[in-house]
Amino acid sequence: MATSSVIEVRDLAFSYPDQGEAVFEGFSWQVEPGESWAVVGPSGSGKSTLLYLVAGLRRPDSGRILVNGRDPTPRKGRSEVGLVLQDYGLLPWATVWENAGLGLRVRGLHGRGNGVSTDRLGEWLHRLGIAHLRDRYPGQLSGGERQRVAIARALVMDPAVLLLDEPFSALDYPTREGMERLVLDLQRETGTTLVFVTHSIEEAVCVGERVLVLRRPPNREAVVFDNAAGGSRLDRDGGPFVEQCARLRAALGPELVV
Amino acid sequence: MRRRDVVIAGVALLLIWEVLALGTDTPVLPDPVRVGRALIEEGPGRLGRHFLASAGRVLLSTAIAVLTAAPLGLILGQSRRLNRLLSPVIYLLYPIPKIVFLPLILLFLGIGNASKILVIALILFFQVLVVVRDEAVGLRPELLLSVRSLGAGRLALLRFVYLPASLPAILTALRVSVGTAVAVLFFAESFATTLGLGYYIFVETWSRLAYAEMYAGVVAMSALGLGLYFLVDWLERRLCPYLHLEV
Repeated sequence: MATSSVIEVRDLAFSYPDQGEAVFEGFSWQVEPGESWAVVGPSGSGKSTLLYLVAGLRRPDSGRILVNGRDPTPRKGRSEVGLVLQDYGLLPWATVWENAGLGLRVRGLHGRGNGVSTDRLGEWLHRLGIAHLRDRYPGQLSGGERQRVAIARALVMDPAVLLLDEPFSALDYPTREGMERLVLDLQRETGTTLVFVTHSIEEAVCVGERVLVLRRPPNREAVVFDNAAGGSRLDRDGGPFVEQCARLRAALGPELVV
Repeated sequence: MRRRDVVIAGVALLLIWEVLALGTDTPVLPDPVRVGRALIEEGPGRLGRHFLASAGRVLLSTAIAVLTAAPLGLILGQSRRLNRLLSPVIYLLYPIPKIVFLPLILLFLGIGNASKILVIALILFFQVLVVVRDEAVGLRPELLLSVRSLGAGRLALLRFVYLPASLPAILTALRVSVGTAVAVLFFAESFATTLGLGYYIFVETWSRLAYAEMYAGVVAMSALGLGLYFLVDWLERRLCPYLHLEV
């Protein structure tokens, strides 16, 4: 069956082998192309697990997940999603250039594509403002610069969906706000779909046009919080932003202080 | 550590040697000048031949050990089941001083090159195996996940993650065991052979009371150990530049 959704999660069940309780049970969720989603919830609610499932890095116990109409399991040299993690995603022994071009080199090694497309990689490094760092190693970069490299590495592969797992939670506040703006600008420029996991209510309201609220497992239904004014158009100090944060906090429920 | 300081330390050690030789004034402890002369006389001839034989044995053993232990370590590091199966065996074998196998190896392989190469390779094998396995097991899951999300299969993970991640560990294992390797070589060469620095020192010079030449042999053996140590350092700077960054 053809579907227009870029992410389609249907009747998902998933639990970790060593834990009794399921994280997801009969869980369904859909993301349309070009949308920007934030995923919030307390620790252990399954935010990262959902991201890994959508990235095809974990397999559902039952139900199905389609990304771009396909099984998202990364196959040799092919992947539907770009993934940016909080930290430790870059190879410490590779330069910025090698790290950002890793997806292209992986593709080349598995015989798809002809290795690194130097022009495109260079353009992305420029767009992210890290072209001058190309010969540095991750150990020589600031946290914000490292995440720019991780974003470049994901976007140069032209993914249908960009998945970010608390990407900026280790950054200081000014850097963090700058990075949130950058991600939204990039999303608008590329038209890619965004799924942004965060534990910060403010960040969720800033980034997500729609917010998926996860609660204490098992998650049986997708609780969706509409935030049409999201996407950084709101002034962070203004009344509407603060009100929206209060509404989202209420939606999370009293037991779940994040 | 700066190169200049290393040179100064070397000169200081030679001076101490000189003072001791002058103070004791016995043929058993010739001074560095006499030993240097013996080194120049013997170097291009006998001593050089023995040195090359010893160096060849160590290098070959090292190559064999790394080429067998590193892949096995990587496999064990990736397969939890295999590791669970084999780690008790490794646990039992690892602490055994491999040199005690030398008599057995001599019985099986005879007194040629093979027995000496095997005993050194055995020592290095376990050192490399254990560090490579532990390095592969200890890789951050985030790193593996993010590389897998780029479409990396087993081959790409090996090439871009496991191999470069274990390289510094291999070099560290070699650095700590290269001294042992040379020591065991010295012991193994001191009997049951007619080629190698151990033979030169014990049979050709020591037993004939040729003290200056014997010291030249000791210096050559030290140079072999030191040279291998420098080689590992050089390889690390070449292959792992990210370990020597100024942030």
